[in-house]
Amino acid sequence: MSSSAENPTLTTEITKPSTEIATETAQSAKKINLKTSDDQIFEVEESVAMEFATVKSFFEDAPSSTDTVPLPNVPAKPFSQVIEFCKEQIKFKANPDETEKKKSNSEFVKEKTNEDLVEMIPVANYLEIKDLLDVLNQAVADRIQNRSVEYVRSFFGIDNDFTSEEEALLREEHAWAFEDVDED
Amino acid sequence: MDSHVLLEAFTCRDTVIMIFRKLGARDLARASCVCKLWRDMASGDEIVRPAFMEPWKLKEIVGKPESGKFWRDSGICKFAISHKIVKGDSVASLAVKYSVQVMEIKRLNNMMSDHGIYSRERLLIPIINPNLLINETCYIELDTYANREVAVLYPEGKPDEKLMSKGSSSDHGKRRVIDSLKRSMQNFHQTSGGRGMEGWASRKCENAVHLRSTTLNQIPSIYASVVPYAVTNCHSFGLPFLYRVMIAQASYALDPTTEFVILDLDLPSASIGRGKSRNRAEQSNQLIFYLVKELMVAY
Repeated sequence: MSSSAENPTLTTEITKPSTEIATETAQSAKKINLKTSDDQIFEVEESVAMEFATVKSFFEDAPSSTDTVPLPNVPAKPFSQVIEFCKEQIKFKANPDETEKKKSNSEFVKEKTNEDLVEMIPVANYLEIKDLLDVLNQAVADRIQNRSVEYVRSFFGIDNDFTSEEEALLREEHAWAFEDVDED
Repeated sequence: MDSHVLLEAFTCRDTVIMIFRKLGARDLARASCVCKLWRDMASGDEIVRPAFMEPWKLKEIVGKPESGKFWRDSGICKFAISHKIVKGDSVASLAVKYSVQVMEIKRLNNMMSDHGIYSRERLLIPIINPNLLINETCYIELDTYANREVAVLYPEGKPDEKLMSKGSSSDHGKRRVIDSLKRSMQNFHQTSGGRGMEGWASRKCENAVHLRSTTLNQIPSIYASVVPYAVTNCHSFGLPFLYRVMIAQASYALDPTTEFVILDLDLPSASIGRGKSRNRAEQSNQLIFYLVKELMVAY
């Protein structure tokens, strides 16, 4: 579904031209400190932090507060990847180009491991980053497409809570969906 | 990462539903075997309905099927056009009008002959061209003649109110299936020259089996009438065991969700012609008989 075409221009895109960085910092020099569940502090530009609806509403509710915003449900590792995504997104806000945006999004998920994706989903969900959630869910759906039940379980780290009888019955009922499933 | 947080996320409805929305029917079916929560969610209306509509770019699908299995397979054979019969219509003229085969119309509507279409209010026309469904609204109906739940497309926009109210209550729906089962047996009675039907319809099964096995040439007509009814009945009355017997005996690679393949079971009748498969025919015979008997006992 969203397998991306080779994108030769992408490398130039990631290494930002220095002028762009200069204007960016000039516009929003303000930084916001965000503290993850594992007590790491991320200093993030305000424009990026405002991509997180949860953080945005935090500031709307308490405009005067300038302290570090705690994110109790957000571990550092997926959070750094989420920030990476949002930085890319902001570029497209100033200069909307749907094709480039799609390319950039699919490049983003392409280089992530299954674990990366699965860890980012709850973070994107908690921070209410709609675009990222959509990209991640599609990527995950693509990766489990035509895969076995066992694969999906280990993909998400879900325990099988069926008895073997229950499971056998279910599989029999859905036997049609098990033909030509990809090998793990 | 904290596995506790992860587990919570993928056993949390909101997160999972978002992923399910991106899955097709087959992937959803396997997802329902992952764990109990996923099973319950994958069969939820907000998931199965969009997944059913997606491949055909339908605008809307109205109504709730009696059988949850309805959603499982979204093949084109689940759809049909409702053609309201007007004076001058014939199966042949409709076949031309909608560019389909005469046989396909007859099969879908379980018609024994070309005659008598005026006793029906409408005929279902199979959909060949999927583009017809784009951005359309379909209505889930249990069609008395097709004897299964069909997603019906009305060229005039929406169904007759009279027809709609008929299919409303589920008891009424079951009643209609039983009525049509009886009607189909009467059909069979007529086409078999009146012999043998008593055994089929009553519970004096032994006689019937015996009787039928001596009139092998009538097997095709049995298939044409009784089997589709029996199969749909198994569906709507929750008698999956019958369904399984059916498939096992037919020794045919079937998708258990498409009743249609079963309607196509002309294999026995073909082999009867070669004179070799007396046993096969007899088996089929007994099987059909068994199905009908079970249905009669159950209802």
